[in-house]
Amino acid sequence: MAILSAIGQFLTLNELAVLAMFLLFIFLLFRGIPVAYSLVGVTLIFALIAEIFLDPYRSAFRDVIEFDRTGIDYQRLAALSGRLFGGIVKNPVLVALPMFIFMGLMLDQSGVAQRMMHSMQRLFGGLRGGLSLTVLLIGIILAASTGVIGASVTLLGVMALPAMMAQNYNKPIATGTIASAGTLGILIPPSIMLVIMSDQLAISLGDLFMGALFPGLILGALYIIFIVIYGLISPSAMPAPADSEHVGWDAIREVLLAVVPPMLLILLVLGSIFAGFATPTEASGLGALGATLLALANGKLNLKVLKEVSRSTMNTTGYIVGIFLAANFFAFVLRRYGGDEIVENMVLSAFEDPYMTVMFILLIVFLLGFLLDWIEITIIVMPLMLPIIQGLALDVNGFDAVRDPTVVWFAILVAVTLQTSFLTPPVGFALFYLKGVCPPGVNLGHIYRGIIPFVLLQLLGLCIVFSIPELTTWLPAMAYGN
Amino acid sequence: MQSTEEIVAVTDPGEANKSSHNRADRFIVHVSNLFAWLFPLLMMAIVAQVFLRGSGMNQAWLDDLQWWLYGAASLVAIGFAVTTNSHVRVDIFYEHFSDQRKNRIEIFGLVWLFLPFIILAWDYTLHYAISSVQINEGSDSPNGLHKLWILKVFMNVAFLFVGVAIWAAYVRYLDKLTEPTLWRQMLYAFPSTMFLVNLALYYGIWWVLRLTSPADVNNRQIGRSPIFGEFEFGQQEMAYTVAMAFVVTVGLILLARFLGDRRA
Repeated sequence: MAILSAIGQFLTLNELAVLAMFLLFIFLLFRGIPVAYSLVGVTLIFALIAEIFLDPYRSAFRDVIEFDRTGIDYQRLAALSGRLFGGIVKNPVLVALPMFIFMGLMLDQSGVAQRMMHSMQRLFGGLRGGLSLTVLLIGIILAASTGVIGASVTLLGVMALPAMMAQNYNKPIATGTIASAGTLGILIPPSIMLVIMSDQLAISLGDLFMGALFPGLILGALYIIFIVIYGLISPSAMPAPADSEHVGWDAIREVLLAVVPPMLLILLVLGSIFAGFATPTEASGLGALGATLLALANGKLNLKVLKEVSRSTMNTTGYIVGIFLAANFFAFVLRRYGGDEIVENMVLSAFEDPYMTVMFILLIVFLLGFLLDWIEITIIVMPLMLPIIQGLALDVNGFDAVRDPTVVWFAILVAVTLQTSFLTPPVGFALFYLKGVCPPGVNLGHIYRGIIPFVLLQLLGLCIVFSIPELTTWLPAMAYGN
Repeated sequence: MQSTEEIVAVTDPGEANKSSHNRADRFIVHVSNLFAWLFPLLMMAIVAQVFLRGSGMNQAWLDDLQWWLYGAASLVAIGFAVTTNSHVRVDIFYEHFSDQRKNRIEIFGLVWLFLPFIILAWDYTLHYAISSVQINEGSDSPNGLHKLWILKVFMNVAFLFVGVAIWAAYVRYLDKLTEPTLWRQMLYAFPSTMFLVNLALYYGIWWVLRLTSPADVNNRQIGRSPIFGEFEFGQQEMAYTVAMAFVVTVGLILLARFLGDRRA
């Protein structure tokens, strides 16, 4: 009681409980218990505490600490079934999730990446820095295929790193290029992360896809400019091969043949949304079919591949939906504790200026990105941030066509921030995925040194999007305005 | 070093670690593999709808079918991911733990944290499904897929499926630590076991009362029978059935232990 009373000077019991909930969750996470299990476990424990201890005894500690009744009991939590049905099953937006996963896995199977690598290596290989550019271009074009950063970083690393080492590329610059090109996938549409964002932030998926396009391309362009300038300043870092053969028209033709099909696929997905021919959800189905046809055209499609791609889609969908399930229950109980308002007040009380508040949230997201993958962050944290962002007096121009322009802008900022976070030493995810496929002789130190300029470029990109919100709202306004 | 082909090659997630799977694990994998075909089917449904609408023959039921297929597949997928052990985790420290410690963590996560929630969700969705069946719930759209209750019943069954997947995985991990006799299975999963016993007791008593009561006693009155009441200690109220469940669970575990010893 004395302890409670001392705490009661600073916190209400609800705040204490919410704090304890988050701390217990983090503790379980670090034990290595899967996110979904930890989250439902914590929620169950605190639902029980509320029902058998806090609510019945609230009169006993009324005088020492402030407490609002949670009203949790077995009957009342029954509303969970409706929430689960509406949030997970009857959710037309999330239909896009397995379809884009399917599309990405199929695209990996189709061999287009290897083909692009081969042909572009031939075309640009003779140039100084040609391999770096190749990696970046493939990263940008194939961003569509992979929302799962691990997969694209690994793929690019395996394909390109040995070739770069053979040409005596400077190790830091080679690894930095690959890690950053591989993470572009979570930003450039169609990305699975944007699908989940649109569900959690209740904004149109089409707006998000269109909104992410310019920022994604700006980042890609920044990378390319950097590589070109770096190559000019320090030619020895990215030497041209000694035996560079003459590049003829057939090399260009080969590149076109390799690049055009995946470009067409992206055009099919984004174009059908842009033209209003299909909803973003339907575009995912078209994309999945397109990738399957690409695999067929490259002679890579057979029953075994189709079967395994479907089963892998099932597996990936399973662990993402598992977090949806857990987060749904967590949010339900958290709200009963008044957790939403507690988090909101905490974030809002940090800064007066609304733009500072946004930066503060981005900082939190950045730090969380060291621990958690984007799946957990978008599903667990974003819904808590939504009312805060909506309540801020931010002036984002939606050109009278974009609903919730502020939220669209914010979502893109979060996406860029997360991508930066995954690249930032010492614990960025992408760096470790890359380390996993590095040839001997390349160590984590090289990767750390190589990534720094790219992290700075990311921050520059983030500043650009932050200061010019129209970059994220103009295209959606054009697409849907008329 | 692995080659590009090896890295890129998709593996069949259900076939990894196949040798350690028990029969229930294989059951989960087989059912999931079957449901995996819903994804290509979903793809076809979407493409069909886009083209039919483009040519002026919009099919409202195809819109519904899309989230029916997605919803059914993703519920089953949760169980599949349990069996393949792919639920996302933070493995900074975990990967350095000893195998035995990893097994204990798996067991704790599965049957002390996740399974009680799945049982809870199963119980809630059971009533949800039953009331949907009773009103013969249909689609929001007049030309949509009717018989929505099928999907709601399926959701309930899917939680059962996830529960089986969890129990199967739990027994698999327990097997690595000790011999998974029935009483050990029940004891080491105590919260889940007791929750199950509680539900079984509750519904058992309810049905006994229902069947022994005259027909003019309605269900609500049965729910108010003294046996479903609560007793108080301190500020607390505790349902009789919960207290009974605790005693019965302990009794069952002791019984299983005793019978198991006799048989051995």
